[in-house]
Amino acid sequence: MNLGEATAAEIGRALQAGELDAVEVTGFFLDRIAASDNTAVFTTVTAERAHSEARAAALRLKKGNSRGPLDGVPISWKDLFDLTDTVTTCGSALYRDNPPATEDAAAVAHGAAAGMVALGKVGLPEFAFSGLGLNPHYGTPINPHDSKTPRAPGGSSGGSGVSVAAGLAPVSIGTDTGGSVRIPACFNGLVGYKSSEGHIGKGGLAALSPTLDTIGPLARSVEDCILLERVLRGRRPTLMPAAPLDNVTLIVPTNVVFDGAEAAIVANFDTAIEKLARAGVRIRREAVPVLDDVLTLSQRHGSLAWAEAWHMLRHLLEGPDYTKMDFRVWHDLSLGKSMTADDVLHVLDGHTRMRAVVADLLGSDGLMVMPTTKNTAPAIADLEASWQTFNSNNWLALANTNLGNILGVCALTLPSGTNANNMPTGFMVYAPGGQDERLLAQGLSIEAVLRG
Amino acid sequence: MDISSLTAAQLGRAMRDKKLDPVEVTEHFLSRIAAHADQSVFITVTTDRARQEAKASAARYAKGHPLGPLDGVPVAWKDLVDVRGVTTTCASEIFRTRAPAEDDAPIVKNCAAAGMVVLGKVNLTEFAFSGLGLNPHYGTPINPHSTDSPRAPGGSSAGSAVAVAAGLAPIAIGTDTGGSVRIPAAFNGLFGYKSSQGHINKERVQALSLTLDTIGPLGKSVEDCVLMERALCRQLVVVPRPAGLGDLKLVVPDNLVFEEAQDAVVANFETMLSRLSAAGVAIERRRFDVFDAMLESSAAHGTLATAEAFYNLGSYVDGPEGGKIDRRVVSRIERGRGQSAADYIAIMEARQTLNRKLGTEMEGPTFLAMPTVAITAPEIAPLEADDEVFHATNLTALRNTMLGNYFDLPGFTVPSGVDGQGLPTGILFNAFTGQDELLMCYMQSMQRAMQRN
Repeated sequence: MNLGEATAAEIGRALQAGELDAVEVTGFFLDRIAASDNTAVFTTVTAERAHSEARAAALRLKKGNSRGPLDGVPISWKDLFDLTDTVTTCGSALYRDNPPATEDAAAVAHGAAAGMVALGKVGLPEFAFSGLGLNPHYGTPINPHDSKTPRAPGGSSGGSGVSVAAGLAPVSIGTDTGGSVRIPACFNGLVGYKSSEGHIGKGGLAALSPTLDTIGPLARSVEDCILLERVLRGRRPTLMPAAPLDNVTLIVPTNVVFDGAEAAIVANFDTAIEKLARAGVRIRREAVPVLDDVLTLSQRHGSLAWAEAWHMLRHLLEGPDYTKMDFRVWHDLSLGKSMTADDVLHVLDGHTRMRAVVADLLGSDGLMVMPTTKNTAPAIADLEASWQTFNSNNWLALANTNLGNILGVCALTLPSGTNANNMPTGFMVYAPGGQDERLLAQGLSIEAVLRG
Repeated sequence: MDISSLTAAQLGRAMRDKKLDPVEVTEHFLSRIAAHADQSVFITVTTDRARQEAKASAARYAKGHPLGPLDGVPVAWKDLVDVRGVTTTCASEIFRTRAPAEDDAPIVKNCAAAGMVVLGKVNLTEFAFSGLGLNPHYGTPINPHSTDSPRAPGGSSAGSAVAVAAGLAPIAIGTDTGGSVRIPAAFNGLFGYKSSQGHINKERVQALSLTLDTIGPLGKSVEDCVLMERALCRQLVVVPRPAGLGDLKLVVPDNLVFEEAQDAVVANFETMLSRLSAAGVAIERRRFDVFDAMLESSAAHGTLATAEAFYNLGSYVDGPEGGKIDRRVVSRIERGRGQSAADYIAIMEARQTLNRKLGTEMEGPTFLAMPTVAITAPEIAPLEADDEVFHATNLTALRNTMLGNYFDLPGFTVPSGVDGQGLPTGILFNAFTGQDELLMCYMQSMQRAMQRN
């Protein structure tokens, strides 16, 4: 087995069967991390913890006391999660010297309880507030899909995306407030799952938008996402059967979601739709007016993420050290400053109204599908050279994923192919908020069709 | 039999026992309304509907199949609540001639399903945004307890309270965003119940603050308020049973709630407490830091009520007829215009934190007890003469009740006596969020204890 390309479930099965040893598996990944010239992927490597957790897992597996199918499988965590005795940097220079966390975040503790081995913390753009993944303080993880031109990892869970795609971890946990799990998953050719609001507990997670922040895995398969969804909620990691697609209707919006999208992304998306249609899935291409409503509401009243992020971080944004922040992030985090209470109330009312429309439109057997991002991973040098290029690419990355956060959906992104430069493209699936179980069960079947 | 003096429950029993007829009862109230000197209590009397519903009720009783204990009992609705075919004015000049409501609000339907008779729509502070009950457009309903000079009805459910206190309706429905059920109930010597958020449906009720608005009845007994709560929630079968008082604890805050309180208000409050204590209720007095924290949040960020009122009503203030809105209401709505998104989020965050904290201080069957309002009904003339006096008096009137809205506590106000001029005072009991039924179980036993002399 090539551990650098194996899924978490595959590694777990080999450990259960005694074909692999937990200490060796963790050693393999720690060596890869140490040897990698992609040095900005990890902000902290918790080697000591990893070794001791791996030894404990090996002992359990030997004695037949396994904690389940992911016992002994390594994992990396976005550096917004508290890990005992490490500093949670949030990718900010202002937090570099913060006191270390005194306990694990709830999700991290659940991972440990399932026997998973914490390799360390991975990088992100400052305060997770960008879809591209650039970080001037801790460095930008390089997208491994282009060996010549350094390209953006996608964000904000950029370190998570690269750690898995570069074979430095079999799976990684990110967070998603506007697309931050799905964009880096897409840019790195991975599967990403954004859970519904409130589906996975957020204790010990540094908040950006307490309402919209959600947690989710970046992985090599839907199966891994399902197992991790169970683990993150403190449940036994068991797989549900793949749900048949006979009664499923895929709604492809004809408005909004293709505007400005790269040709190869649209072509790969259409190919995926053809495969699904051939497999007997009903496809409906139609205008979905609520997507226009999302844009109108945001233009008129701003976004809840802006308002909440400003509230959470204004002490820094207006503080004496604000010039030590990435200017691009400082600018975007300040968008909430001019919003009024009246704006927030319009936005909240809009959320309620539009989420009801989506629940109605999709019901219990509809899914909405669209390209995950409208661009592929851009060259880092171009983004660093021009704030305008940075902004236009940031929007192309976030445009479709952010619809999902506002509409309160749960979502999966699956790889749909590559463009002429070999850069990955993504196929995104939305189910109404709260229908995570259905999304994941049908996701297994969709994945099988797209890979077939 | 003096129909006007009976409670809703007594009317229901009299009709069940064939001592009264629903048509006779409704006609009695319709003629009382027509003959009442103060014509500002009702904005619309729904005579035709009332007669039809009374007739239908009489037919049900004749067949021996009434719809429950309130079948045939008339009810008055605050004019924020949609009644089919009638304009919902919100007691605003700008809505006087707007299109009639196309349907009954769900709570009106629920009461119709319990057999109740809609008498009409009663007056309020314009858009329900003040605790005193003055209205320059439709007139101010006069508190029937006034002796020397006209006294304020209390608000915003002013018409609801006066309708019941003056014997124009046996029971009425109000809304409560900062005290709008409980203040007029206390000023008029009535019982009033404010529900927890989400306990009673608010569709087709004009919103002032979606977070704080709640629905509740004003009536002449605890029993009436309990039966009415069942009807509003369409829970027609199970009536909460009275609970024994031995395990109940009342906590009396010794900060904030007695500031500026009139002597008679405090004296009557203490009399009620001593009766409850004699009945076995444990009484504890202590400080509540969460009240101070709430005031700090309001000082720094403004209030939730003004932010949400501006969201709901700002477009009317800015609209072509904005100049026709009561200036005192406008000045309160305007406070919300300048509140930032961060203010709003900070207020909501503080509210959630403080609600949880208060919850840890109210474990077991524990209610907060305080005077409903620190003052009795003030004279109307000085309030009309000076806006500063109006705003200061308004804040004093709202101060204790608004704690219940901020912390989302179900509350019950009970008459506690009168002052030297015969003006009623009230005692307010608050249970913790969501404990509406628990509160009602105990209130039935507490009322008996408080009446014992």
